Amino acid sequence: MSRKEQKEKTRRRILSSAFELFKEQGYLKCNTADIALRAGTAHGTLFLHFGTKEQLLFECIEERLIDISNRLSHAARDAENLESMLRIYLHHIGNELEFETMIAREMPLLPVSLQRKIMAIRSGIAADFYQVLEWEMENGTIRHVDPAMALNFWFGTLNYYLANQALFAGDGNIIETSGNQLISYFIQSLRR
Amino acid sequence: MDKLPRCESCGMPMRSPEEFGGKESNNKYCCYCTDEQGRLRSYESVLDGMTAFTVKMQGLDPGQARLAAKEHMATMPAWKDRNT
Repeated sequence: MSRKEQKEKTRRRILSSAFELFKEQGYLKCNTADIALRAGTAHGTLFLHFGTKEQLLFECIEERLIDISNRLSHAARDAENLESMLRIYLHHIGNELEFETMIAREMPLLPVSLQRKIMAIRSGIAADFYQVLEWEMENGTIRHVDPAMALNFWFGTLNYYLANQALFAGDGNIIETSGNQLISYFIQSLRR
Repeated sequence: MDKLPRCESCGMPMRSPEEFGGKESNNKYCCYCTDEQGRLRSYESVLDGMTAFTVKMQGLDPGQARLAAKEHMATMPAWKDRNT
């Protein structure tokens, strides 16, 4: 294995250890020494690759956002309707529910500079939904609304359910127990 | 699922030829970050565009949206080596 490949392998191992520990302990409680230990690297090596704990979280989030953005962009290109876009999104959230729940809980507590970086990438996802909302408004299948406001209602409600998952779903999976209801209620609220 | 090419200036996934700068699918930049000929716009012009986009898509405060756009652009290949 070349030096470059070895470096990349170490980087990936640190990133996936961080992802797992953020899920298990939450971002705020988790410390970089434990991440390095889980990854089997020296503490200093972690900082050589990522600089800060914030950067580690950002890269975990960025990877997930780019993945879902890719899926949604394909769906938007294929002129999927709003409901199928929302299902794709919920499926993505459900794939890593513990991580997404942690983000929903801790996002408001993160440094505002990190929140901005996350929101900048989220704009791409919002844009795919925005486009589909505009199509549906043009086609007359939904009322004329401010798409950004409608989307903030959707993401805000979803985050509320995620952050309070134990109350809404007990030991169950919130996407499985409430996903259909959330989609159906959101769409009904937009219908003419 | 094939990975969509992303604009090296703003990160937008480019899904169809119309979304590439100059409608050329080998352009590294999207139609929003380039002029009619497909040439990358100035930093300020792209920053203004991204700020407006972020406000429109998510309803953020314009000042925060501008900072968000600036910080995001600083990570993109087209702008990351810019000395500001």
